[in-house]
Amino acid sequence: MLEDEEIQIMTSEPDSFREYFQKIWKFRSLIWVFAMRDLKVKYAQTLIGVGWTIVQPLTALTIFTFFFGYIMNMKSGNLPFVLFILSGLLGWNFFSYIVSAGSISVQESSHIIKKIYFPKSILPFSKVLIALVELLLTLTLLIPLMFYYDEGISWRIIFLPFVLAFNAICGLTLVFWVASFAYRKRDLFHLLPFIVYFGIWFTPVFFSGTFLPSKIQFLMDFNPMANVIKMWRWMLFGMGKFQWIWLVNFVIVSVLCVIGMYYYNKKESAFSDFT
Amino acid sequence: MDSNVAIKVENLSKLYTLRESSIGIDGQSTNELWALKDVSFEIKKGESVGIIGPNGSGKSTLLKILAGITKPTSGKVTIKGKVASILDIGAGFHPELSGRENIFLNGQLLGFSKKKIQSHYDEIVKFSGIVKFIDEPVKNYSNGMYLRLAFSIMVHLDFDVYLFDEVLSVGDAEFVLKSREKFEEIKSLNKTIVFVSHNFSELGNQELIIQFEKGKLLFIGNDLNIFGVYNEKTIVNLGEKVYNSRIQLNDFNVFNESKTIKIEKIELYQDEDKFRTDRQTHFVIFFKNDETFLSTDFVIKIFDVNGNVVSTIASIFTEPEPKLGGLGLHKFSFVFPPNYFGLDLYSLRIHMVTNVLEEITEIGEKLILDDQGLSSISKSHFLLPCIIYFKMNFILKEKIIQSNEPYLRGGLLPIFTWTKTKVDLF
Repeated sequence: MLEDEEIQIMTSEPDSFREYFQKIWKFRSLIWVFAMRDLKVKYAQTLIGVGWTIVQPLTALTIFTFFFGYIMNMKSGNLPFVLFILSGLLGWNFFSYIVSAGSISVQESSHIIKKIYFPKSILPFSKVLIALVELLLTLTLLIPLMFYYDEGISWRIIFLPFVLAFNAICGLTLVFWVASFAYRKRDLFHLLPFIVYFGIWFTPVFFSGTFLPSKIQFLMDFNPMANVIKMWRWMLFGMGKFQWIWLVNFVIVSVLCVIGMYYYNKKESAFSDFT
Repeated sequence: MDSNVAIKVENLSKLYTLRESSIGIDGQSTNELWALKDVSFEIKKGESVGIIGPNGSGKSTLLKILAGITKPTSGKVTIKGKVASILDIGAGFHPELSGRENIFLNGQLLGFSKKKIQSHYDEIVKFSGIVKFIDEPVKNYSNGMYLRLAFSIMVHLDFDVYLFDEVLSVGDAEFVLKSREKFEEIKSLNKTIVFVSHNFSELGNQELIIQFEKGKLLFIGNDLNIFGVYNEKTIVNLGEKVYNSRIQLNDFNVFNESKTIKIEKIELYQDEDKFRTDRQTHFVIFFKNDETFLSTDFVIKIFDVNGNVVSTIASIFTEPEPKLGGLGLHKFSFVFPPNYFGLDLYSLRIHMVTNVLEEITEIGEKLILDDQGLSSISKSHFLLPCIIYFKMNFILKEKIIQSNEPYLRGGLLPIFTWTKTKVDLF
């Protein structure tokens, strides 16, 4: 062959993990393509378009601040309660969007995956991108509020990429694990909304860790999302101290994520037969 | 792998596990379904291949495996080059997005860069013929517009191997024509084309035919007799008979729509038993007429395998013998000249047209009829309730053509007299 033509070999064997990453790399532009498609579609035929992404957290913020801050009079240390809630919601919404959108992403695109080949992990990855866009828009709410309350941005902001990655990996891990095991029998998918709806109460979104009795406070350390939220607040407002357990959590979740992806790769060729 | 092989399939099998078990061929209850079983073949670069087979024979499963959408249960496929899998036209389309956005979305799904798509953008839009609506969401498109746009994207981007799943006959007549041209153009660029189709006139131009049945490869090659065999099977499955020698039908008791005309016998035959294209073919029809003032004519329509009329032979243009009309037994016949039929499977239908005899209407004396008689005349056209399927051995100059001459296929070969002379150079 004169030209370096690509050669594809298809057997019953799944791609090796290395090949799989090569394929993801080859199809990486699709992550962006799917994300843009979803965003365009989501705000098609609306007047304020992407503005709706702000309305939703704004509403949540108002309601939660009113109930927890005023009615229940919860305390958040020196930090204004609005900022406390918003930073919690920021991380939690990022996570919950990845989990809920990512887990249905394969079914949602079944018409495409039955007709066109691409590595299926592109789909959850594109959801991460959408979640990121929504997070950035929420930041446009947070930053003015931070200035209003005289909270300067500290040097710790350099940890932002790390916190974002940690946060996203928490979501992706769940998506990969559930998708790998639930493509035939979908029961596990029904478990995910529970994690999203009830998990928030086991995570310091509305309350700080000190709210719990000191005897069981350590349990929070085993919840990766609790670590992520704490890290967000530490990074943004210097709340609390840096804890090594965060890194331990990060490593554990990352390893789980890679294992999840490994199974996802093994199973994904069957997705088109079962979705 | 041989450098001019584009697709190599080795011992390919695909097993589906069904949710419900059913009774298998061996009488055992099973929920296993072998969509493909031990299939091997090779397709060379630049070849265009047609895949045929009944529904559920494994054609689409094969295409899905070639496209990488599903993995085989065992076996191996090797493909060289960039593959366009056009298993469903507009698969990546999103209804909410505009035509323009969908061009890019679909192009990128097929593995092209934005830049590359941009460079073909104008051609794509022009070919699809929806310039005016390109910024409208595709959900507002008509079905035809949608398909045209999708098809246009596929054929304007540059692939090495094209996989089509029954998508070539979309859109209106003009577009079909345009896409056929485009298809020929792709072929001429030495691209490999594999497609599944039920439209035999499309498949007829392929260099290689692969036939599947029940997940197994039944036939591979370029012998176009395959169409005859395939179609005959289809027709036989419908409970009809395909004749290749003398046909005689005389059971027309079921046909009593016309009270006055009774068909006695229909014959289609050649002088020797087995039908051959190089011989005359006789058509004869006998009928009995119970009314003096009626005459009858017949129109024979010949159809090809796709159900297209390829010939109409009407007796109305022939002047009858004097005093033919009216009471009695009649025999109408004509002869198909030699070399009129080609390599195909034909079907024949007979229309009967009854006329009130002109000379009698002029005199007017015998037109005193009761109501019933008048009403039976007023319905003056009948389609006889029989279809005759027949085929011939294709013989050219005493040689049976092994039917790998696709250009001789299709329709009838009307007899024109060619003049073949030698002209001296000036």
